[in-house]
Amino acid sequence: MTAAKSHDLFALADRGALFDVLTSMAADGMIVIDEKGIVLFYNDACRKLFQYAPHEVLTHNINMLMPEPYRTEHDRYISRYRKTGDARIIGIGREVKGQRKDGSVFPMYLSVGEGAIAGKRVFIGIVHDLTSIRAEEERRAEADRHLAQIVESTDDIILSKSLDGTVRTWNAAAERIFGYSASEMIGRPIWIIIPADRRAEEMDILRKVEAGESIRHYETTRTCKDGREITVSLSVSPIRDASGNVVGASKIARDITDQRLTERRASQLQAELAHVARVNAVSQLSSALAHELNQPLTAIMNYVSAAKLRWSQPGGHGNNKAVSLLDRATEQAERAGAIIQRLRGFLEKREPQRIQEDLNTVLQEAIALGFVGSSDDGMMLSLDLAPDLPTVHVDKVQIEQVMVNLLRNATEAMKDSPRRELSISSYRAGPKLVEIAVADTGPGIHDSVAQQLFEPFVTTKEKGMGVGLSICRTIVEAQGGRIWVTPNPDGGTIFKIQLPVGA
Amino acid sequence: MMAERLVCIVDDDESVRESLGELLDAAGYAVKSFASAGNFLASDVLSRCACLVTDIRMPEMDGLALQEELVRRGHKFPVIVITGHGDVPLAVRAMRAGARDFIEKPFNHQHLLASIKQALDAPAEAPTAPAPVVQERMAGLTAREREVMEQMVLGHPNKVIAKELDISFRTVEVHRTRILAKMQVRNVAELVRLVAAHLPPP
Repeated sequence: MTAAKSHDLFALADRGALFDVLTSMAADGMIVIDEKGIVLFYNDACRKLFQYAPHEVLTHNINMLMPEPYRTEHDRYISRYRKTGDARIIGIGREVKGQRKDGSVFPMYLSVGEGAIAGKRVFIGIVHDLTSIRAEEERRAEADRHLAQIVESTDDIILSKSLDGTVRTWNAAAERIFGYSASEMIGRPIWIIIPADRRAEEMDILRKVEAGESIRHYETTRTCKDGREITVSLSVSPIRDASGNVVGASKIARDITDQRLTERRASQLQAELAHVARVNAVSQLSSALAHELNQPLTAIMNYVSAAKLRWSQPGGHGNNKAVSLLDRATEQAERAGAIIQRLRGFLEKREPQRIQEDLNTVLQEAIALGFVGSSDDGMMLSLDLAPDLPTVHVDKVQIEQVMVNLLRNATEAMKDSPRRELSISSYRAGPKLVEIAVADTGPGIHDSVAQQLFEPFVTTKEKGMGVGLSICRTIVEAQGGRIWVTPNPDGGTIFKIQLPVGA
Repeated sequence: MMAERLVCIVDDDESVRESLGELLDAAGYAVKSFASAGNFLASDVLSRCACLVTDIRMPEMDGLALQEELVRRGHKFPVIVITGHGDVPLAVRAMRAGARDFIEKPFNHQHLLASIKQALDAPAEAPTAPAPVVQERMAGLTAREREVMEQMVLGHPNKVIAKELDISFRTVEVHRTRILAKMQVRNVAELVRLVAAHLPPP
């Protein structure tokens, strides 16, 4: 390097000052060595980098600033270059290690230039400390490793795909659950695991993601390598590039097949239990039911007998009357049929079935069943059913069952009461809630019992098992509602059931 | 004349009351129906009533109370009670209190019509068989049969009798058949009617 190659506007006299400023103010270390590696120049920045004072380094071999094995090898590097001209670093620069006075080693970027001063060859090294950059990189790599480990170790399926549905990443859980290895899936279309009838749905999801939307806890099915269909809960989010464009979708899926199966089994068990309770309720009602059926049967026999007598009147004078009597017999047969049908519906063993129902209709049916045969026992029944209630999403038979249970309880509670009034009301309890209240004028329920009334095997009855109300609670809660008891301000007890308005 | 024989019906169940009215009407009786004992007692037909057919289980005043009230007021027309399921003990009480017959729902119209006819034809308080005849038939019973009969006329079903006397259900059935044969009656109602006056009060 010669002065002629520099481009500046400084006067020759100021060149020395410029050199001083450059070398002392530079943030990078600057070192000049001779052909043998002896340090001729060592700027202020080097002090901070290597911790050595200039006098400790000047006239010493540069290799003192290097860790092994470079320390031992350095002299050979120089001599090889001198002999062969084979430059490994000179004029190029690369990342090497430096060693501080305290022995610690740090990464640095070293660029080396070659020149001559007073006819002697010198090498000029510029050293840039890479410690903080490397630390930052290491931190990022560490974070990436953590993330990768989390992705690999979780039980949830985590995968990503491009917007055309090509799989980009595929974690260990995805391998385990779907049965396809990452190498089998990456680069291939996601459609492999999507059942034919779910393709349109997946297209829709991809479109939403492309528009920047996320999908949370979406329940659907997927096909495994062995052909099994599993139920998964999906959350899908857009993946964006550095400039914010959506370039793909990340998908977290949980295999909820077992969970759904368990839930279904639990709901079946609950249904069976509820059924047993209904059978039990009806068996307790059997004598009342027999009475209820006896009325239309008696009427039918009377009408038919009367019709027969009319029919046999001489001259056919009674024929018209006989026909009208038979019509009335038919009406009574229909009445009996309706009782049987209601009972059959109530006793039927079936999967729980939640559909939109008009609450008041359910209540009316329950009342018809719950008061079967008690028409002449002198109890006062008042109904206050709010018109235009929104529908509820319930299993009708099970809600009927809860009501029948409450009505029978109330009737029984008031058996020896001087005032026997039962009020049943339905009303809105909020924008999304409807309520049923069954109020009796019985002796009331003691606080200590009320607390645990809905626990199994708690009863105030001499002959009760104490399971009726616990089944009621299970049923009501399975429909997303709640049931509780509160004292009746008029004396007695009020049972309340709250149900969410149907979606 | 048939038309003079007024049969009154008291039943709170509309379908039973109306159908019974039609049946008796078709059978040629004059009929008056009432939905409650109170309505009947307040009506102006009591003096003309030839026979009363009443349900036994009713709100407010039941058939038994109605019967007692009629006796208290001095009305002597025959009373036939109709009973529902499981009301036999109640019916037996009615029989002992002087009811002519009890009929279980749902009933055979011939049985009911025969019972009404018999009630209308027979003098009001005539016993169904002369006392010595009844005594003689009762004397033909074994000690155990007599025990079973006492239970039967209380209206107890076989199951209860079996438990009460600590014998098998089947044995009770056998006794029951023999008792009805020995007493020469067809059913418990006839048996009660026959022996009520000859047994100690319950």
